[in-house]
Amino acid sequence: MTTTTNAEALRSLLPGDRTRNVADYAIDGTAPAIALRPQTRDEVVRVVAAANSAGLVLVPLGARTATALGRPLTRYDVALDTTGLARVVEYEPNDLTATIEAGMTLATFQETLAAHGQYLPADPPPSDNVTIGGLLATARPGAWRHHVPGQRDLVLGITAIQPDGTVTHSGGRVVKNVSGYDMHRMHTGALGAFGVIVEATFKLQPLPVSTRTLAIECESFESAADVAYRLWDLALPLRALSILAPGAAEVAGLPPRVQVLLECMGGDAVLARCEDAIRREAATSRAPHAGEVRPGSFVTLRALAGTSALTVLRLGVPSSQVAAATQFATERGYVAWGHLAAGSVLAVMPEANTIAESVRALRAYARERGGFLEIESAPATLRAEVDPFDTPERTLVTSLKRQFDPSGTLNRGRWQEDV
Amino acid sequence: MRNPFRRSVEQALDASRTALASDLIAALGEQNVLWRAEDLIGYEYDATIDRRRPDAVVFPSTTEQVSAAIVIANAFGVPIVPRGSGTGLAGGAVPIMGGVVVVLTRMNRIVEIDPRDRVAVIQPGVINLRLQDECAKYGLLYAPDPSSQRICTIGGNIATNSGGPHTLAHGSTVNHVLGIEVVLPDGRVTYLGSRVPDAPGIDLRGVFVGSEGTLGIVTSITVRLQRQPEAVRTMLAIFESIEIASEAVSAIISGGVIPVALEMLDQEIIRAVEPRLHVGYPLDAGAVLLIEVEGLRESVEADAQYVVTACREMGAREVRTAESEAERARLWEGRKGGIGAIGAISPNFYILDGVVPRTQLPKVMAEVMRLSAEAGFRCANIFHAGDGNLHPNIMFDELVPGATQKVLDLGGAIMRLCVDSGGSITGEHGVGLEKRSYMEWIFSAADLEAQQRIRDAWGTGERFNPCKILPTGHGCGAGHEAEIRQHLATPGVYV
Amino acid sequence: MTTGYSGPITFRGPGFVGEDAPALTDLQNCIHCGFCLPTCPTYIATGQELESPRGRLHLIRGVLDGKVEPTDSLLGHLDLCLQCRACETACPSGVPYGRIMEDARASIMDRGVTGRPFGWTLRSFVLRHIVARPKVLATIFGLGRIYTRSGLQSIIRGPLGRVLPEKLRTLESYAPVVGKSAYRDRGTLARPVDAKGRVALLTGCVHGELYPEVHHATVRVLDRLGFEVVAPPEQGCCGALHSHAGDAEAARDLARINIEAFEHAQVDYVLVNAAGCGAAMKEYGRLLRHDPAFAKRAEHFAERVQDITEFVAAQPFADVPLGPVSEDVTIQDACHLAHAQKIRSAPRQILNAIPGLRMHELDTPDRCCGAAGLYSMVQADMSRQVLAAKLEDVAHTGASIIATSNPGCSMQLENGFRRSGMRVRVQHVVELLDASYRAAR
Repeated sequence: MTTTTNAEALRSLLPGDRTRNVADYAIDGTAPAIALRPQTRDEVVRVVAAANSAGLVLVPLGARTATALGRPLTRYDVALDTTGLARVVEYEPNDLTATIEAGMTLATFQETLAAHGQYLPADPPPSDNVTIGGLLATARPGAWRHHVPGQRDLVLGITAIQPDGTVTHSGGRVVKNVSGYDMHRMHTGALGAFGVIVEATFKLQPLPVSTRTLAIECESFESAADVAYRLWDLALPLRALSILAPGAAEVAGLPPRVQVLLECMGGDAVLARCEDAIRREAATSRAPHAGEVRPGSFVTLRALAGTSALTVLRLGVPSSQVAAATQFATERGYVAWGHLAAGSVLAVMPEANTIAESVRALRAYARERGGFLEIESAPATLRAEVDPFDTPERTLVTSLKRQFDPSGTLNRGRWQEDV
Repeated sequence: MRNPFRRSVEQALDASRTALASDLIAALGEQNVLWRAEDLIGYEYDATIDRRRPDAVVFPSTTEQVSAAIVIANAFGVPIVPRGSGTGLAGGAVPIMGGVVVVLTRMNRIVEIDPRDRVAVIQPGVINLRLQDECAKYGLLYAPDPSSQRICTIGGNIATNSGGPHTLAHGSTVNHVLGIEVVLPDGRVTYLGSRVPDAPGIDLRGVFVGSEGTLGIVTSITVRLQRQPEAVRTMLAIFESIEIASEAVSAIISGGVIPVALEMLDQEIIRAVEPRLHVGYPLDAGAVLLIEVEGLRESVEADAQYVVTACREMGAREVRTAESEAERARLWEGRKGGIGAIGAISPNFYILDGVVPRTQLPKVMAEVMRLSAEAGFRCANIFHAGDGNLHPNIMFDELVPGATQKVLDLGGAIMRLCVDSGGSITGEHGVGLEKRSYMEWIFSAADLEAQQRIRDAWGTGERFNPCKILPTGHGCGAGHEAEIRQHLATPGVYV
Repeated sequence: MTTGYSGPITFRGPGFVGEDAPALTDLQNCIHCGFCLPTCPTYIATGQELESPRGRLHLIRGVLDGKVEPTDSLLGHLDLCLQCRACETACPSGVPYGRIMEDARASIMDRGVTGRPFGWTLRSFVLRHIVARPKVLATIFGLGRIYTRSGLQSIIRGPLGRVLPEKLRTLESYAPVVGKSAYRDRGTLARPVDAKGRVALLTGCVHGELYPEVHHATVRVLDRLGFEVVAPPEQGCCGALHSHAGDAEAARDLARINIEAFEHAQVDYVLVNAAGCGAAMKEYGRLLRHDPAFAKRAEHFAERVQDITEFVAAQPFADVPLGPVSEDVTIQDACHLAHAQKIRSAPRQILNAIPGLRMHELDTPDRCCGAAGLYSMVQADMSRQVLAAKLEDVAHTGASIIATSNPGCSMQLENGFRRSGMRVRVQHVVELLDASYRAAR
């Protein structure tokens, strides 16, 4: 039998018409043989198990905003659209925990939570349109990482479908739990290497009373670094604290200078105190301008970092190197900005202009400082040429993949370690 | 009757043991190896008193020595069990199948504290409190603060993913570990994570933290530090009963203010602590909540006011606020010394560690008290109420015939209660030996099989801290299982 | 880094014997939490469980339960304990560690000569026939005084030292400098007009021989505070060292002698300026609990025992004019003051009241200096390791005087300063107070 007939056979596993237009599910220009959008966990189980036993390669997809993450796929037969699974399974506001299905978008989830004055403190690129499954599988940090934990630390438990169709759970629904191996941590950021995430439980936070976005215009990257550092040291209730190169500032709707952009949260007294601290800092450092800016600045940058038509690089460097790394990337033609506490610098450039050499140079720069560079989005050719990840430990990944997906059913090729 | 000590001597003279010891001595030096049967007695226990004597104990001071010890143990086919200060409460450091215990307390250097990058690089044997003290010199904080912090090691904290009172706001150990150097079960040295957060790729670091020493031995740790808060306010809310106090816990948190710590101490604990430590807990209270908020001066003021009001509304008899740093330290001293103080009022007690959703606390606590009373035991409660992380301490006397078994049964019933209330069998002490059989209550056979795959992927085979976490590890067959179960039924799991 | 005890394994018969055996109820209190580990000097030095309080309690419990035998090797671990009782301060469960260790040692001693290591017998011989006998002790210290005063000591420590064998030289370096005349005053020592009360002073065994000036200072201070001071001539050694070594029998004999002597003196308080002695005398009640003739009397006696600093701090001592003592001072809490008697603030209250005195606290003021009675001789290596850490701590303070309250600590510290060439003097807290009173105009 051919791949196509095998794939077609999957269609009959699901009731009604669950197939979708394959062209909409193309990744790196390649469309799958079939695209399916199951409505229940059981349907997912059937599709995954059947694909596995038929030797097909299946790719779970949510909002399809991060398909250029990881190495190019080596084969792609079945697109599994998870957006049909979008129920709230359990939400107890007084426990500050919620269990939801993986196909729900972050936006919908946030709406549900906002009704109870709560939220999931995650701001991944490009926007709240990502699905929960995608949020976890990609684990891309956002600007809020200054203050809040990463996705890995917000997830309390995961339900995933393994390639043979087995449903497995890990963790639980309580905020503190050390029972057994943390498989949810293994799934988080794994780009679906070990299973299809169908459900997750999160730890939530109360919505801030109010937030304010402020910016300080600086003379140079050095002075921006100093300003940002001193603000960080004040232990203000900041949700984000970033250093923007002039190009990034322009995108964010600010004057094209080096800017320190921050978001503080709290009640009136706290916001007033933050604002006061910022004005004082601006005065000390003779910043030409400081004050409140439109709240959309961070949103715009977040969208930019999630634009799949661009090459997006994420450099991890120690906090003390964030301003310098931002400058370094800027000098190499990237639109760059960096988050101080998280030590992450985003460097963005149109795909067409990207060459492997400059990526390698940035990676070398980050590594020299004890950090790393991850390609979050780039043309397939580049991702084939330069390892999108930057991890020294490969043997363990290979053996984990062998244990959990011995036939290479899921996302084959995303990891070099795939068999 | 055979004398157990003579048997140990005979074992010590066993030829393969002698060979094992001499290989270890050749690799690590004589002063870093214990092998005489008598010296091994000190490594047959941790804070649970599960007991089994190892074949040898090594004290490496370098990553290379750790690796060498592992390679030698592998060559002899004996288990490897990592150990810090031996304060674990689940039997995780007990060499239940014998083998080589690798004690990491001599790898106790703070390699680096970088206040600008806010990271510290430390060896696994560094004592938690020592790191805290060093960080404080820079106005920085390493958040995880388990109650045993004055002696527990950071390596041990990584093994169990330790929490502590401030987990409520700052998260457990895994949230603060950026990167780790690990010696894998085959002796290979690798690095997981990075000096910078959110390293790309599979989060092997996250899988390793909390794996209770079954996936390797950590030899260097990079942790994230945070700035100490500008202001802290510590309050003591006094309630007539543990149920009312439990109601208040949920009310405080659901109101939009999450304290950094929210601890419960019941009457039994207060009466054990106060006469010994004189920290200022009222002896006639049914329960107290120790509540801490932190942040900017402005927000702390408002948050503290909110907490006071919420407690009063929920029926608190009185809410006291610590007026000085000394007073605050005293309130915390009572909390940190609380578990130990039970030792002063009861010959033995069995510490439980379970988690329930916060909203279930009132119901669950009432049920815990009912079950204990029914079984005929006093139960003292001191726990991380904000996280729903219970620690009922069942008090008993091992010398009363049958008491131990009844206590173990009661412990099982309370664990079951936690599971049935949507919770978990351990919030911070770990599964270790003690809770392996409860794993089946929260995980399906498929879940456990998947967990075993992680172990298999790591190549831990049958020898890396065997028989911990999973109810049926390879090599912990039925025979061993029965032996262990029997062992658990003797004065062993309680303290 | 030492690995702790590693002697031969010798079987000497099972279990603990006699009425001195440690009580199971005491041992049950230990919850194995390990909080004692970071406070234990021998655990700090070795990093080993069996050289920690938790490990030793585990061994003692094992012997009591009949699971392990008290071999010489096991007893070696018990012997390496300094009995500083820092673990008691750290213990959240209130395990009476000092008591358990004394009982365990006593119970081993009760087994007779064949049932215990030779070293224990030898030690007990020295304690019984030298330390407990004032005349023998006086003779030995008299010889020492001749050795020091003749200048022979300084010659040996100076030019001649180089030609002496290394071993002998090391041994000699432990010998104290016995320069001053011993304290031999007895009877009424001070009688101020309108005395506020009448107190007795324990003159002790080694203390009066080595540090007569501390007794002189004590008497002057008490005189100034308005107390009549007596020293019953019949009194003797307190028996602390005997108790620590497990020679309960000898300790009991000495306790009875002292109780009778001090009862006869009819005083309000029995004051002690040696923390180890005070701690032991406060425990006479328990020591003699099985003696029907003395049990009650011992308890009553113990209630009247006070450390000199504890007594002085409770008096309005600062109302007496204080003169300046312009010195940089640090304080070493004697283990048997801080851990056994739980007295920490009294000596500090006194020192802080002295004008001009600049206080520099040690990092770990309540960690043992390694003296521990005979320990510095019996376990010389470990004692020196423990001392080395203490010296380093002292050096960091920059103090020129270290105040303490126990002759054993004074000897050990002086020894350490001399051998390492540190210019730090050791003084009893009461000596500094005396100096301040005397400097007042």
